[in-house]
Amino acid sequence: MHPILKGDNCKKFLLGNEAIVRGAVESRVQVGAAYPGTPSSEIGNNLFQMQKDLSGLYFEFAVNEKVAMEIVGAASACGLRSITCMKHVGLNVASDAFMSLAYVGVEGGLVVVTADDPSCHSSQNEQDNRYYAKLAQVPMLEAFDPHTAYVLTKEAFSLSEKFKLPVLLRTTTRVSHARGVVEVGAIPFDFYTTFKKGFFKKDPFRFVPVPAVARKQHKLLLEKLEELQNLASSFNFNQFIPKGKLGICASGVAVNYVIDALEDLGLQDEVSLLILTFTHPFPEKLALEFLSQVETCVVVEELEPYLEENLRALAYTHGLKTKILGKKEKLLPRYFEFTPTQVKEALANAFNLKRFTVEVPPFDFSDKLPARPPVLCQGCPHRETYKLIKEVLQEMGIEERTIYPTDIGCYTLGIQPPLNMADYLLCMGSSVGTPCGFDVATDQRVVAFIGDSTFFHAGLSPLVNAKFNKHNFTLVVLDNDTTAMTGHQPVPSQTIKSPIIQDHPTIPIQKIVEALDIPYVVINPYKKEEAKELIQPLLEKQELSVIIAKAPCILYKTKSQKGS
Amino acid sequence: MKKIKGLVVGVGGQGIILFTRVLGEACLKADIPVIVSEVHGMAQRGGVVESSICLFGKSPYTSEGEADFIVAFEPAEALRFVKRAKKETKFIISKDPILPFAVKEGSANYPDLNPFFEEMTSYFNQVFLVPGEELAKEAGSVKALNMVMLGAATALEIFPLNREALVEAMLELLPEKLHQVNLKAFDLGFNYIKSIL
Ligand SMILES: Cc1ncc(C[n+]2csc(CCOP(=O)(O)OP(=O)(O)O)c2C)c(N)n1
Ligand code: SF4
Repeated sequence: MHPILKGDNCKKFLLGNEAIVRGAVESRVQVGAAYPGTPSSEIGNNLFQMQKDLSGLYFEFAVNEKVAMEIVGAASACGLRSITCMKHVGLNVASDAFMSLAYVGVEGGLVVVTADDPSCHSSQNEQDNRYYAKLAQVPMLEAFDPHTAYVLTKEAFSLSEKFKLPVLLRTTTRVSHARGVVEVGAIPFDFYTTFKKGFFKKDPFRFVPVPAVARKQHKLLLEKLEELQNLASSFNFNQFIPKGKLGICASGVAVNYVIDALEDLGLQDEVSLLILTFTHPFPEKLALEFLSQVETCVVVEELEPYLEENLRALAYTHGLKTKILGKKEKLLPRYFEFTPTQVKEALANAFNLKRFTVEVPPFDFSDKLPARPPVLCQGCPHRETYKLIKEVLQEMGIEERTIYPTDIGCYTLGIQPPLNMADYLLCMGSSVGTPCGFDVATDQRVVAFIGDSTFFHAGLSPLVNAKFNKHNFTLVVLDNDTTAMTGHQPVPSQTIKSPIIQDHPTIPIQKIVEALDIPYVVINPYKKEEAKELIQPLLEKQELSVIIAKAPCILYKTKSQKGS
Repeated sequence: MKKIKGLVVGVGGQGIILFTRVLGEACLKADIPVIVSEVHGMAQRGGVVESSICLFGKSPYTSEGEADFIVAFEPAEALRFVKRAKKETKFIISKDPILPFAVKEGSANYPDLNPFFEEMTSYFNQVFLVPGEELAKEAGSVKALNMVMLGAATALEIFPLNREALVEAMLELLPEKLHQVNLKAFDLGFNYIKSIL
């Protein structure tokens, strides 16, 4: 049996992401769909594996976040509880569907997990997705540790079903990838013995947001928000703990740093706390009660001043003189994750505790030590592909001025010396869209790189654009049979498949390219001379072409041979 | 109880996650509040890996000047994280270097660490070097370095748990075919520290 399913009504040591999975299954989730992305990936990975044990659960890895959002939207419209999860930038991709889901609403509870990444541990930005809740006008819950991730997942399902709205559940890397003690309930194994189908009750004047419908639905949505606003103030897991005239309002992982810091500073009995997990709509009544009882309120939240703006607006509206300290005063920064020491110092500062200093060792060796950036594995096929393409371009004498648009995956590590073969990147799929622009704007050769999973995620439509609008560049598709970077999830072109999807078809990339009538070659990157001969003619011609470099990821190959 | 905070550092692929899993499961059994952070994603590809441990507290992050202990699976990584330490920090360091890719390729060099260690040991008085690779090999697999380090840390009594509690948690987590190697690795690390104390 899957380890997350083991044990009822006991304490388990779970990763934040595993706690979300446990909470979802205890809530009788039936349908899940997701595209992987650190730090959210373990949610999908575990739901995928769990299907083996729970016949009543369906999960699929969708080609991208938007498709995943559409799948769970439809499933929930049929009355089934559903979940999707994604990294913060994944919600950019899914946002179009997400915005409309708020208007048409849901039937079965629908939870959308966004895992944000302050400090960019494995991302291209550190956007704060709490603003998506505000933008889409949907309720949002913020977890601060694995236990709250579990509890809030369960709350999110009932909240969603009650208000017929998707609920955004927000974590960050430090929550998703923290492992802690979670007090779990029971798994409804009986419910999961078979997959129980739902039923779609037609209601086009709700589910088809043509302008007339959308206008009506938006008003309805705003009415629901008002009700939710009241509910947020009485929400069980929003806590106002009144103590003295000094106050702190916090959400997310910073809650832990605040509690630990107060203990370290000996202030736990003096400072009033407003700990928030239901943060959109903002719990105004509760916050007002807090603001009226304290003289100073320090706001401790990572990234954007989301709580802070709400608190300031509230204080202004109600004519409160409470001193609010946060990002505006630069007490804490708007970038990177916080550290406990940083929070402790900020609090000591805000509360004028002169006696407090953190003693750190008087030396630092970090700039004398060798850097240790992540690297392509020994024997990785991507490295071989990069090397041989570089060589051909060098032999042609144009390597230095060739532009290498790149994309997101293990192969982005081609940025490092000695390869230096990554020049421009925006987001997934940009390796195919941006060459269209480079082609128009310069005479330099353009050789772009994209992984197989990324190709299916967002590379298909720009390739059609390139063909239709007559753009000239060479696209190299690194077809390694898997989504390697995020932990080896399936891709449509793969030949080695997990037993769970053994009967799914293989969709070869070359057939797609053939259908578009684009010249292409398929190479084995380990056969260098042969491959160089094959690609040379394509690189010499100034026209749209595709090189498919086909060789499985070394790690994936060994993993699947071992049968895991 | 007073908080105990620590850090386990090393290089992606060294098995740090198992170290913190075993420790956490043992704490769970003993009803000790525990939270750790794991590294998943990009850094696992041979990058720097750090995992924070907090017992009796809430923060899954051990930051500057906070560590009660630092377990380093690689000597340069121990040095990289000294700022997290305080005067009384206990260091347990596997002394075998792992060369970064750029060093192996010849485009960067791995400096002699001895001068740094001299500076370090003149400030901290609890730095323990462990012949990690040798002990792991003796146990039967270099991959068992994580359990050598866990055994060593246990012998130093940095956790409020004894050898039996950790061994029990370890055996429950690992498949049976790995029991012998890992148990031996744990004990070799444990006994090594006991022998130099
Ligand atoms: C919109 C978005 N979703 C997800 C991710 C996370 N992500 C980064 S790389 C990657 C997949 C890469 O797979 P592939 O293109 O096959 O390359 P490989 O890692 O196998 O070389 C994913 C899912 C992201 N960066 N952006
Ligand atoms: S995981 Fe696979 S694709 Fe990624 S670097 Fe390693 S071998 Fe290459």
